[in-house]
Amino acid sequence: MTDSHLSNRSQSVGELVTLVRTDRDAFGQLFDRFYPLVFAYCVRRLLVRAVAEDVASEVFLKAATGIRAFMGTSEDEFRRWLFRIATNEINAQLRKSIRRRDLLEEAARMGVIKADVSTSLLNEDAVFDWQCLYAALGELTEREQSLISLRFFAGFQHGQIADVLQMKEGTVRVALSRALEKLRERLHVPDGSRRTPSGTERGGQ
Amino acid sequence: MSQTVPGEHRLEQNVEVSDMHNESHDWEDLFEQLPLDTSVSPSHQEALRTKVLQTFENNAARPLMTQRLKEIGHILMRHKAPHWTAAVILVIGFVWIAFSGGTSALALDEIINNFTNARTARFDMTVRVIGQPELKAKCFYLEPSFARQEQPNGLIMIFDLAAGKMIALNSKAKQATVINMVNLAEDTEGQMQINQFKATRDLLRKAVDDPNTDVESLGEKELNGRKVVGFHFKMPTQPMTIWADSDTKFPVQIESTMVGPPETHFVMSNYEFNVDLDESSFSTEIPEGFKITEMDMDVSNASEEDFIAALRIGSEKSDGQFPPGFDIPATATYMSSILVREGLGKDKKPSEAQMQQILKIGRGLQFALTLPPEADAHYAGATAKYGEKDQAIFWYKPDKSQTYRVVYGDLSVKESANAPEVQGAKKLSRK
Repeated sequence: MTDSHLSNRSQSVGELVTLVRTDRDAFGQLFDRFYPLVFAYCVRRLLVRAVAEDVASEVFLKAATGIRAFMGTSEDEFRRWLFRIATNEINAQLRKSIRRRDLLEEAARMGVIKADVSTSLLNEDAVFDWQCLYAALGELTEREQSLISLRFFAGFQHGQIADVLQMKEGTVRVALSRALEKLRERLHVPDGSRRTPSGTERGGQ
Repeated sequence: MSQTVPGEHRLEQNVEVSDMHNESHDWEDLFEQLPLDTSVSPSHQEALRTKVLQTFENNAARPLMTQRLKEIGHILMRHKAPHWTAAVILVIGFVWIAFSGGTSALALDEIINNFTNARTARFDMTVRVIGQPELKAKCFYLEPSFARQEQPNGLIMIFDLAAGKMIALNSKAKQATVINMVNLAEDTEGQMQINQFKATRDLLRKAVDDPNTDVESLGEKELNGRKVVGFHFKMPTQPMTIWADSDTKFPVQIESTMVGPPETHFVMSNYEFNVDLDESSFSTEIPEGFKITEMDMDVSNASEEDFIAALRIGSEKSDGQFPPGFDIPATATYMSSILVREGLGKDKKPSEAQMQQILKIGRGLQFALTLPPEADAHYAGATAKYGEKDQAIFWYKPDKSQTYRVVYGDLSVKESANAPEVQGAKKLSRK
């Protein structure tokens, strides 16, 4: 980022949003602010950095093309608009089998989740692998994946998710709860064995 | 995954989700452990910033679509209102559309955005050219400019306009035709109407940006069990009607007519947008085992020279006869008769040399078909024969010229201050 990108930094994000439809500099400053957030969202969902960079690029190119159709006036509206594009782009990528394969291969490289975190999902001295989790996530419907992604990878609240996915807030709460329940069920491994992403089972140690 | 860890964990069975808040925190804690580097690459961000701002600037050069849609809103109101209330409604309409959003204009806004921003599409297309059999195809579109058509007879056509390449695959006969489009200009792509989805999209973009486009709201109706809203774009060269799903605002059916000549009707229906399409299905690589016929097709605007060449080749292969007219039935009949004379038919495919000559005829005749009305083009060759040096068979005025170019039966060309007077001469009118 060059110094010129930092001009007019005194303007609030809300002010920039009101200008963004026609002001190149405002768009540039909002890009600086939101690109890291969108990229982080993409990489958490897609895992492969190169793919996440491609998708984040597509998101901002689409935003630049469609910005004049954006009718919001607040930072939150801009954020939701941007993440709606990002969610659609991510889903489009994950419809491709090659992308799903890349994601699971990358997840496999990430290894196991250490259980030294405060969560009832893990036992104290146990480990759990990311590949299994992402495979289970991939088995959910596209909408369920979007709900979980926006909640846990983008940090959106229910009301914001409702706006992005054009659902009612109450429906988001229920649907998210059900999606997490399904995720739990898919991660459930009977008889001390752990399920591999392909759905077969192998013995634990 | 191959990790085998002592004391391998598995999730607790029969977890009761009684507290959504705690549940959410549990998952948050879990996902926080993602071993990922989410920091951006500064070089990628910088390069993307430049590209994104360039896109923003390019986009800024176009008139605001929302502004244009507000204007279209006025037109919609004008069409729906009786004369005596028009003035009042226009005023109310302005306030309504400008500050709270008019239903029609907003619906159209969404429909056009959905259509123009789609990355992929799948739809059925029917093409009717007056005097020709109806053509049906299942069509697929993939950005930026790939198209695939699957015809009921098994013929598959794939277009990669960015690469200037078309292929036709006949799986039954294991035959492939490869056509390399030479001299493909940006505007030629739209004129060729090969990638109908892209052509329709470009046309619609132009229509929305053009302040002179007249748009009529057709209201709501049921189409194949779906509630749809319709809009009619009264474009002079290709009027178009869009029917879109009332709820999703995605187009369901688009009907358009190229006024021609030849008058050509397109109906594109059963649209599905942003579907997952296999990129490899748009590959112009020829599968193994196919016999390939390859040729170049010059798709630049045809010249008078091309026209003369077409008449020369055509007349040589038709006992000196020129085309019976300059509309699609007449030119198609002429081309068919040449194919028959060449001994080509259902069972005998043309050689590459024959195909090149046929393409040359088609390209040359296109010159006459695309002349604008101000060229005052006339054709009088239907009853003439090659070699009749005093018989004017075609004349037109080149762009900004005060004089006519007159083509005679021996295919010589002379300048003339006045149009020849020939009985039975027909004006060629590209409306």
